[in-house]
Amino acid sequence: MIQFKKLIGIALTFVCLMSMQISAQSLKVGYANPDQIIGNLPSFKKIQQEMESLVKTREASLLGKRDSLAKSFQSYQELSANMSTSQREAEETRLQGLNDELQELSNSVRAEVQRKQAELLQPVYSEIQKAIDEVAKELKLDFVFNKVTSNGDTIILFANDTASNKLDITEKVIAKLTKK
Amino acid sequence: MKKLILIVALFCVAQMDIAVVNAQQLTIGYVDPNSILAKMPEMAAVDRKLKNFMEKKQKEFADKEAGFRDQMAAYEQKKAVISADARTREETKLNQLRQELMVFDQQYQQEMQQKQAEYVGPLYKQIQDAISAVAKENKMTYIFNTVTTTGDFILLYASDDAQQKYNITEKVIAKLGM
Repeated sequence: MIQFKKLIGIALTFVCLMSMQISAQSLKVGYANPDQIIGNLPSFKKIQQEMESLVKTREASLLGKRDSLAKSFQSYQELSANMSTSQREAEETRLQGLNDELQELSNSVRAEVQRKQAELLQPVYSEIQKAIDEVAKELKLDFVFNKVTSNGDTIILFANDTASNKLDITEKVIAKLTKK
Repeated sequence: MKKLILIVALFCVAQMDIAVVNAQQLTIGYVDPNSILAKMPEMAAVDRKLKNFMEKKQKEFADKEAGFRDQMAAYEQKKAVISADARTREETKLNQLRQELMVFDQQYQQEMQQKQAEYVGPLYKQIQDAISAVAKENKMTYIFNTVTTTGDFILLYASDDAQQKYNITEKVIAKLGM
């Protein structure tokens, strides 16, 4: 009888150990939509406004130059018939130079806008990553996957109701970031 | 007594059930294949070959373009003194040359992509084989990529524990003998 009790004890221990192992091995996988998170942040809206006004100012200065080039070109077309070959060539070289200058300027404006945007967004991205890490730790998740890429490709094509209720941490991350 | 044996037997069955569950347990690993590709020693040769190809094609293009410019200048000089017919002929020819230049440029871009795929393809295959081998050895159900080619994260978070257990990058690198 005592031996059987022992046996049962051993069996029970086994079962306990097994089930412990199971809970340790079962992965908890959450997911989030970073675009939705960033779109809900007041700091992001401020950055968007800042970028819009920067683009507007730069566009305005470019527009002036573009207009004056267009005018020069138009007057060249009107006058070219009465110009000597050397005059025409000189004027063409000048216009070509202005056009190249304008092209270069608009390239550098584009580069500046991209650089500025990356610079302003960097701290926002790290803030979001930090919030994702915190929420994931609170919920004891093993992984958090991205739901959709920034160019709109879906990574998570389906999550059942239970999963979308419990494991989509997007709203929780937004709450954490907007509470502060 | 019999009852007890029955209970023990039931426990055994329960254990077997658990074993089945265990075998079915989902394990998810992850790795960034592109970061491994960038570290492969073969990549230096690939980069060199691509650079050589690019320089060769760019020189060909520059030569063609210079030829076109010369003909263009020659035409500009004589256009006032040649007949309308001759002018049309010359202009058609010049337009054709311009078209050829554009086609050459497009083809060059395509060839560049083809070469890249041709050189990098076998390396990707090696990485994929190593990933599969590591995944099987570690009895993993899935291995996910962590970053897209456009730089978007696929995996946003992995717990410390998960990083230790499921990031197979180092194992894949070791498997490749790097």
